[in-house]
Amino acid sequence: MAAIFRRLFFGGEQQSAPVFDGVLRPNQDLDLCRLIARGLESPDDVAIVSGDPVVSSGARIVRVTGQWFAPLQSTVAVLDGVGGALAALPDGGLAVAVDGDRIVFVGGGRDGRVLREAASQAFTCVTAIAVAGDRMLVAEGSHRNPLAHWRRDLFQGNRAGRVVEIDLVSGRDRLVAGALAWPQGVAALPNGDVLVAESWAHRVRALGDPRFGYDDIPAYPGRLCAAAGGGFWLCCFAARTQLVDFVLADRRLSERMMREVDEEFWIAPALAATDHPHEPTQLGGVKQYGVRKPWAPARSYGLVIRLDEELSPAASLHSRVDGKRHGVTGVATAAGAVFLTSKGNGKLLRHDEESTGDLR
Amino acid sequence: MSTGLSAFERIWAPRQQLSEAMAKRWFETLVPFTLLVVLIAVSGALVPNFLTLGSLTSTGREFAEFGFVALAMAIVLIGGGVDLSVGSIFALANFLSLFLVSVVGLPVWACLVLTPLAGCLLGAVNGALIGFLRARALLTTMAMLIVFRSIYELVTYQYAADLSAGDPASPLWDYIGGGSLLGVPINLVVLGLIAVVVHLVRSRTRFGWHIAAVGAGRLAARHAGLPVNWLVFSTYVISGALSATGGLFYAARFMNAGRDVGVGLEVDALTAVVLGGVSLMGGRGSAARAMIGALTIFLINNGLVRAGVVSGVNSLVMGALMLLAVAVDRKLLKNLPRLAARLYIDPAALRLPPPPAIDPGSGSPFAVNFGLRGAYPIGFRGEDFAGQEDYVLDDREMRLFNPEDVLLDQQDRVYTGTSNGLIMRYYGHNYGAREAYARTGGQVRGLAWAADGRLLALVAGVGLVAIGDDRVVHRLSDETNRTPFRFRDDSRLAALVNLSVGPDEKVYISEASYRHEVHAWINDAVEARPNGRILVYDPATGRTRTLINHLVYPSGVCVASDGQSLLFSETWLCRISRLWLSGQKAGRTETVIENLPVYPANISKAPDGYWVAAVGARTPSFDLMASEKAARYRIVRSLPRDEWPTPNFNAGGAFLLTEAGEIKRMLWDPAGRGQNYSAVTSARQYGPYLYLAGIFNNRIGRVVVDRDGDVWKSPNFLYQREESPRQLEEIR
Repeated sequence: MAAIFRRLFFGGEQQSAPVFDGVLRPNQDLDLCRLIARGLESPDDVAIVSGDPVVSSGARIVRVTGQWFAPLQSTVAVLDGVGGALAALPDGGLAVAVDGDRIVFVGGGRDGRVLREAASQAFTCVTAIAVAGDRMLVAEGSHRNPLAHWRRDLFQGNRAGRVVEIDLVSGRDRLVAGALAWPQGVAALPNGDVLVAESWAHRVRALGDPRFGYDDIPAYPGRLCAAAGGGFWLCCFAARTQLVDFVLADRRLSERMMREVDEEFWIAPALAATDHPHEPTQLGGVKQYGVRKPWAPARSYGLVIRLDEELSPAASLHSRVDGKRHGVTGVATAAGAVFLTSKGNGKLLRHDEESTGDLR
Repeated sequence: MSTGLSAFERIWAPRQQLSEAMAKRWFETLVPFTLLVVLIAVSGALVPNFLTLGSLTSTGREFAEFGFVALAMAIVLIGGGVDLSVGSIFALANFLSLFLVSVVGLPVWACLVLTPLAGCLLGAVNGALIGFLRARALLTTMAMLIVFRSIYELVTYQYAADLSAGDPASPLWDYIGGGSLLGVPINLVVLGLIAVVVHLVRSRTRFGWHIAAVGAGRLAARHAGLPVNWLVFSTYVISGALSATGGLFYAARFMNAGRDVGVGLEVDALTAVVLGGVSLMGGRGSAARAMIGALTIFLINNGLVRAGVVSGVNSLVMGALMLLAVAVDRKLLKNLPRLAARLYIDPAALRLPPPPAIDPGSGSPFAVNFGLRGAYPIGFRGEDFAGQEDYVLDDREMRLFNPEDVLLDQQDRVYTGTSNGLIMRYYGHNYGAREAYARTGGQVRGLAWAADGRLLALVAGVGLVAIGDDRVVHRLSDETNRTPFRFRDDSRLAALVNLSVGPDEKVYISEASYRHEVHAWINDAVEARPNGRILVYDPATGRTRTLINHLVYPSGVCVASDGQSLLFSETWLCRISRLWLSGQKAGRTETVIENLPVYPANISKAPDGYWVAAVGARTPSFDLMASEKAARYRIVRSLPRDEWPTPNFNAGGAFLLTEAGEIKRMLWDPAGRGQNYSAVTSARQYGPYLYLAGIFNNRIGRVVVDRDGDVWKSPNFLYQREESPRQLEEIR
């Protein structure tokens, strides 16, 4: 009834993807960050081990030091699958999600141990790991789709994710929350509660207190990392566009697209523009005079949001459509520096927390 | 295998038809007219003997008197006023004619002249107050309604006895009251004649247009220099005369000056004309609309009376109708253009089979390569040269924007058109020199050499133009024959794209769309309907006619090497076809190649075959969207234009098509770093050089190709500027 009323009097459907404004006003700060390394093979996540950034890049765990023109990369470990989420353990080791279906411990006291299930359910797609003291929080995007088919999970409209907590000392595990809309980021709050970023719901919220959160994010929120001055860094791996929201809302169209089109060429968010001739294009994205306009509808986008203690956005770093640092998936902080991985463009970036400004 | 649009999709476009009909002036009349037809049908079915001759005659006689008053009201409304005193004037005229004929004893013909004149006089009182003294029309005429009505009551009281005693005993008087001409009541005949005259005056004369102009906007009319006071005055005078004529016929029919003559007539008349589509806001309406409305109201009134309803119900119905009419007037008529614009884009379902492979390793002639990378840019930079001597162009104006086509002359000078209306010419060493060759006044699209050596250009909003050595732009043609059975007049040339000159000196022109202008090409892409056509201009007669109609965005057109046929591309259908101009198959169209993986644009002759520009690449997602017309329609309505899905115009190039219809090779410039030639709309080969123009670009590209269309790669385009004769020999 309300829909009919709206169609009659307010001119049909209203697409209501929120826009980048206020604190989220587009800038070029991400493009201005210092480049630590480039040419990495899909660097998914970053963690800090003894002061240096360690990146999960393909089947390798790489420690990166030096500068982009003279990088010093050393392989910490070679995995038997594609490495994903990464977390540093208090004992100096690392927890790595491999192929999304297991967590492998590298270095430290648990070196070589593999975790394949938690809360009596096998892992299928581990998206994020966070460690706070002896607690290890594991976010699983969905139990219906493997990690590689994250777009399919989005278009199926699933809420099949969960967050589990594993006690590293005792090995006890428990389900913290289920039926989440692709939790891609997880972090422990100072009060012991768990903060989760649900990508498909475009929100970050505390599981214990539903009122404590950040809703209507104009992007797909991803991994979280506690910031030095309180609050969090939130990576957003893609921006929402009205066309994707339109296709998502049109069940028939999205069913046909899932059935008939290769996943790579869906009208869907992407981590980077591939320049393939089959890539979907929108009118604003058509090159004019050889230039791709920064304001074009974003198939891929680079966005990192700084949240304050109240989870309100305080600052943001952007790499716009013409930028080259899209699809930021990993974030870690160390001694005033924020390390970011641009999975879309294969880069490791360093942002000085000092230069974020006085929480605009 | 049938590809593209099904026959059903080609024809079935109800929204498009409706939208184009809505833009017509007659559409506003259509709604009340339909109401009237329905009413007549219902009355005919419900009221016994309604459609019999006798009934019609008596009804018509009754109607005519009301018709005069409605016409009077309509004229005043069109002039931006309102006349509530029509009923009182009607009554006074009724009295006056009876008085003149019965009491004074004047001959009937004198009464026929004097009564309308008296009406003029009464109207003139209104007109003078409103036109010259600027009194409010509503209050003034309401006051006059009371004044005239009081006078009427006074005089009828005074002369009641004389009127009932008098008898004109004149056959003319009886004829006016009850006579017929060819079976039609005489008053209806007179009404018809006057209505026709009013209609012609309103729509065909300066006076009528001036009145409408005053009604639409008094201030604007004054600024335009119209005698507003006199025009307003005249509408009331005419109104008075017409009302009086109605009263005259009433008098002749009834010979009665009762108290209730003409009471409430103004409300009925107002309801009638507004229901008929004469706008209360002024400036819009016609005699036909007034008559339709009057007939509607009259029939309803009559029907209610015959149905025997209580008189209060009758008034209630009239009031409700008045409200309905005002609502329709304010809402529907005001929003009709907006509604038409919203319905204007009407997508069709375009189903294309999966395209051939384009992957580099696939062995397909369309395999992606970097053939156009590093092409030498012309017009992108260079030394400044002065323009023509009449005017000075600064550097920004001289920059090359949106070249759609490229052409070379005998001296290898490069010509191209820009979106700001210039035809640029590049010449000299490395094409470093430039000049504005001509100024056309619209976005320049296709270029060609005419048989007489003049430069032909297609210019958006102008048409086909020719430019001689004197550089004066002559317009050759801007219209073609109108398509029958199409609501919208499509005789004006709209989105012209490309042209080709045949051996018979005729010029073949592609018009991509009659519905969307050049700049609104995206609307046509979303629609994917057969809106385009191919035209032929004959320099012998100077006339253009349509050669093939109902094509889906025909962009490239090229007279084949044998001169007997014409190749044309239909961009959104990804298809190239051939029309035989002469020979055994003359007049027949056959498909040369279809289901291309790219969108074909302009076609030009190559040493062996044709170069076809590929303006964009098909994407699986857009192919899917193209087959979903409902989704596309909702996207157009709810998403901003920049968000609309499109084919991938960031990838493309040109391909070499053989005479046999096979693809020899495609040269790509795929997206990514170093891409300079996206959305290639034209590719022309001169000697070993292939020149490229792109509609979204700011440079002309040049690469060196061999006979098979393969690019001779130089390590760096800087060295490719001037190939030595030896190098060129190697390439050949």
